[in-house]
Amino acid sequence: MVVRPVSSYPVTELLARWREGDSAARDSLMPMVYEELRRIARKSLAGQRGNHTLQPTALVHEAYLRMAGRGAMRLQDRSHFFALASLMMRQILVDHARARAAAKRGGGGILLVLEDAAALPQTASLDLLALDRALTRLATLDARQCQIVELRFFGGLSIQEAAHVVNISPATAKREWATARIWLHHAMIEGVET
Amino acid sequence: MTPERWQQVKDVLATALELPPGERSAYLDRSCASDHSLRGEVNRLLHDEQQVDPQFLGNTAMGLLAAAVLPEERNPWIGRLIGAYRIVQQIGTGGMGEVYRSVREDDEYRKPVALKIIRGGQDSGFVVSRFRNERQILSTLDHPNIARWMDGGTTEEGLPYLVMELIEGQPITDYCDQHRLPITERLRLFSQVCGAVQDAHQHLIIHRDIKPGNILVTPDGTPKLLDFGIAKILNLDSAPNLADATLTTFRALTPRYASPEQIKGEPMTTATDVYSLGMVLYELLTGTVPYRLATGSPEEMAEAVCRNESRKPSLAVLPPPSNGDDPDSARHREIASARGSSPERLHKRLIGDLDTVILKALRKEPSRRYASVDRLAEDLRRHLENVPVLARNDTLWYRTSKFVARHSAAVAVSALVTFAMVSALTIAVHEARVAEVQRARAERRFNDVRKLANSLMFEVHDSIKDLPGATAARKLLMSRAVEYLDSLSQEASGDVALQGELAAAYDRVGDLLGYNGAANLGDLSGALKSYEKALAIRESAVTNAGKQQMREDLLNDYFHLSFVLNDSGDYVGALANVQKAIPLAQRMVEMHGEPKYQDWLAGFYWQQGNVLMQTHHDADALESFRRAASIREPIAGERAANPLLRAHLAADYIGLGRALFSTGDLTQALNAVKKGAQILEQSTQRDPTNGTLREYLGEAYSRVAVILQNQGDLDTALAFDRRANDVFVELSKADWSNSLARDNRALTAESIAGILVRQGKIDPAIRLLRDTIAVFQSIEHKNRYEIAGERASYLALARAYLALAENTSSEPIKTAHIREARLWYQKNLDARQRETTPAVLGDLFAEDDSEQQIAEQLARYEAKLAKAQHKMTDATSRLGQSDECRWKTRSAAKADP
Repeated sequence: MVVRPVSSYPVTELLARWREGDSAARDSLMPMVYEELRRIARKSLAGQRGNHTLQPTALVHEAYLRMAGRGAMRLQDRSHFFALASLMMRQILVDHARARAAAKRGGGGILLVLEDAAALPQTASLDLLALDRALTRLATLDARQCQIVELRFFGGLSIQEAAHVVNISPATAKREWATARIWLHHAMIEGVET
Repeated sequence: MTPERWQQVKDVLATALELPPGERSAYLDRSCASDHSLRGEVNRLLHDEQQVDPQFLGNTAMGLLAAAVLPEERNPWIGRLIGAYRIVQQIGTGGMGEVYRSVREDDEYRKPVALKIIRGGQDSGFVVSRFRNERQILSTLDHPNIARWMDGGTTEEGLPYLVMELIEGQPITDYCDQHRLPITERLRLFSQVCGAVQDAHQHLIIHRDIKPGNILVTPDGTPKLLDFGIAKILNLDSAPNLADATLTTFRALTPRYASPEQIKGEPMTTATDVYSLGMVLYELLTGTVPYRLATGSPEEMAEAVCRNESRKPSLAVLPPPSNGDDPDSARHREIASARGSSPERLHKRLIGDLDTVILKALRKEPSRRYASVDRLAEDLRRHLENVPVLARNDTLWYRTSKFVARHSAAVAVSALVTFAMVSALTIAVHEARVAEVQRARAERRFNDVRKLANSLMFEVHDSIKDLPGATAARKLLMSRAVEYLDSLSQEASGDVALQGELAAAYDRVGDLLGYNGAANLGDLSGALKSYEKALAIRESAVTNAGKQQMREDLLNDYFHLSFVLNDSGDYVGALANVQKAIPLAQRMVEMHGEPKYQDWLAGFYWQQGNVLMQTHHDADALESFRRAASIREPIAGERAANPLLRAHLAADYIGLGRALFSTGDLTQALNAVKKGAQILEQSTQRDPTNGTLREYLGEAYSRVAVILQNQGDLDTALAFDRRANDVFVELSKADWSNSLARDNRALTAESIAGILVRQGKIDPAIRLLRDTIAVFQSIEHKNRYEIAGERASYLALARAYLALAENTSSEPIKTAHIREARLWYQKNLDARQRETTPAVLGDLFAEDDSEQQIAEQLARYEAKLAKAQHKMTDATSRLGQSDECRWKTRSAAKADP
């Protein structure tokens, strides 16, 4: 049998291998998902010709649809994919904020303000780095709750979808989300202590 | 805080949040009775909740953040070395991946190339091996308007990549708009694109993804096609279907240019590219799509591509007839102005030819589109040169079947037609199912046929060019063609696809030799042989393989054969072929249930009726026409999708009328024919630019006139004949090379003159007849319908002079008229000598025994004349002698100068 390098497997297969515990599969997936997210975001921003415009919240969904291609994906793998994509969105955004902070202000607490302010609700200006720090702390208290936030906020998933991914009831997921929001808000205002 | 503590806090907090604010305090009292610090924690967070903005961590904010941030992220590909290529800059993103400008590191000129990274879960091992397979074929593509493939491989991450010539230009639609190119310029540019696609097809490569983004125009105005063959490399053929939602999204990126068969996941052929080219042309000319869409979603577009009829381009450029200020009409003005025009002028520019050409390219059924890109390009060329387009020959199957024998006349085989057919022959052999045939054989076959085409084009071209009737040259051409075909035929055993193509080629040879009234080429039997060969190939292949296409072609063979045999007077053979076809057509109807096959089945009954009419089995013919009509009636209602069906039903009614006429039931005959004419009136109103329908209508009118004449209603007959004549006058004015219209115009004029004579209006009749005769005499190579028309005109003129002779009492004038009548009668006899098949006149003169009557009348008059002449013997004989002497003297003088 010819052994192929892990990275030559299509997405579906990589996900299956990852589910079975193959971390190399996950590592191969990361750059692919990353590129796909970037590409879709660029496309939606550029406002492609025609009527097919992307809802910004659908980034991860779109990435999923495109990357899963035409093989039917197992539900479990779907969950894995969303979890991975959401985590990556978080990393991408935070890395970006960090790089900007380093480049323009020499570090410190940074408020990320978007260029296209008109398109945003006022509260969209968000201290991403503070959120990241708060999330990291939340993960030490409750890793699952942290993941729900990632899925909802970074992945754009609904309560139901997020509940499905982490395998809890929607009612529970709703409680987790509501309390996490308050806790995170509190933690970001208070700084380190909570 | 510890995780355990957080769980406690969270539980209480979550429950509190679910309660109305007024009940929370009591709840906290209960649940935190003994734990003050727990209550403190929860209270603090509950207090905070008041301040949390509802938008905090809202999805929209996040989405916009991502959209703004992600593109700024440094692209990790830039600067990387992939294979031998250094990535320099990103230049595009597409459905399949990104494209980077790159340079070859080991190339001292560092010529930039385009490197394409492939995504979308493609198995790279598969892609790379596919690329290697295709590479050899792709490397044969060397065309100035096609971007070349250069390399391919796998990145370290395992993503496949492909390298191609870098083209810097704009999508063709943008280029044309930016340069505000008028329609003619756009057509010229587009024709170059067709040339490139045709070249690829000849190398057996189908593009499958033609769209403006794949047709770039360089700053110097050269169009370049990108991505040839990539669809095959990426295996996009195994296309998903609409039922699969995921796939719809996946494919949805450009359903706009995808053909119906592509969307449905059916096999793709060169016709797929013809369709996509049609879409691009539509957009180039109209700035829009052929469908009215509510949302414009990919799903809606895909649905429309498969189901909706395309709007005529000329209509698409007109704003809806409301007021002039709405945004819609502003958009239309803008579109027209980018073409240096106004919506109204643009509408006029597109109406007619361009409508016809584009809609033919966009047919839902691949087989009804242009048979090749070449044909499409040919029609555009003809349009640009103001020569009528060939797209109207869509109805050839029926048109050539001449549903009114009297007025049907063959299109003279001109050098032009010959060449159209030669190229058709070349294409026929390799166009069909290009993608499926084994490459090696296909290539060899192609080479053989290319040899043939070259031989025909170069050896024969010069000798044929200036000679409209170059029989000798055509014979050379045909013997060459058959030679090559025979050699291919030996190779073809067992290959059903190739056999089908070969049979198609024999069909073309047959057409060229003798179909469609080309008997004046003198090789009707050669045509028959060719058809029979095609038939034999198909008959054996059908029993072996049973492919639907083969059956269809077989049916077509039967029809052609039956028609040619009928024409050549072999009614037994003609009938035999129809009777072989009917059960097969019946089976096709039962198996597939498509209206098309019902239409065909009816067509055979109709043809059976035709043949039976020739053999005077009028009652049986009547029955055949009735069956044809009863099959078509349910599928050819007023709202029938295919307007041809309506025309065919009209033909059935007219056939019925003919049969009733022959059985002597003039009243019923008139009803039937009028019914046919009515349908055709509706059809022509709905589709006024369709010349074929108008031809049918003209023919129907003259049928009505014939019956009315026989009922003695000369005035009404005259009115119908005039209507018919108007139709043909108009048609031949619009299209000077339409010989069918010209012939029919002359034939109806002859008929009008005939009635005028009967009404005693001799002078206008004579003027009309002399004009008509001039038309016939100017035709260099007359087919037998034209000869028949000419004879009829001579006879009518003879009759007119006899009538004049009748009406005068002056003997010398009477004598002059009789001489004149004799002269035209004699011309009729001379013309009869030129007829190859006497059968035609049967129908033409069915209504009376003109020739016989005139002959008798002449004889009577001349006898009287002879008597009178006796009285002047001396004078006459002296005159005769002196004539004779003069003649002899002159001859002698000539012989001895």
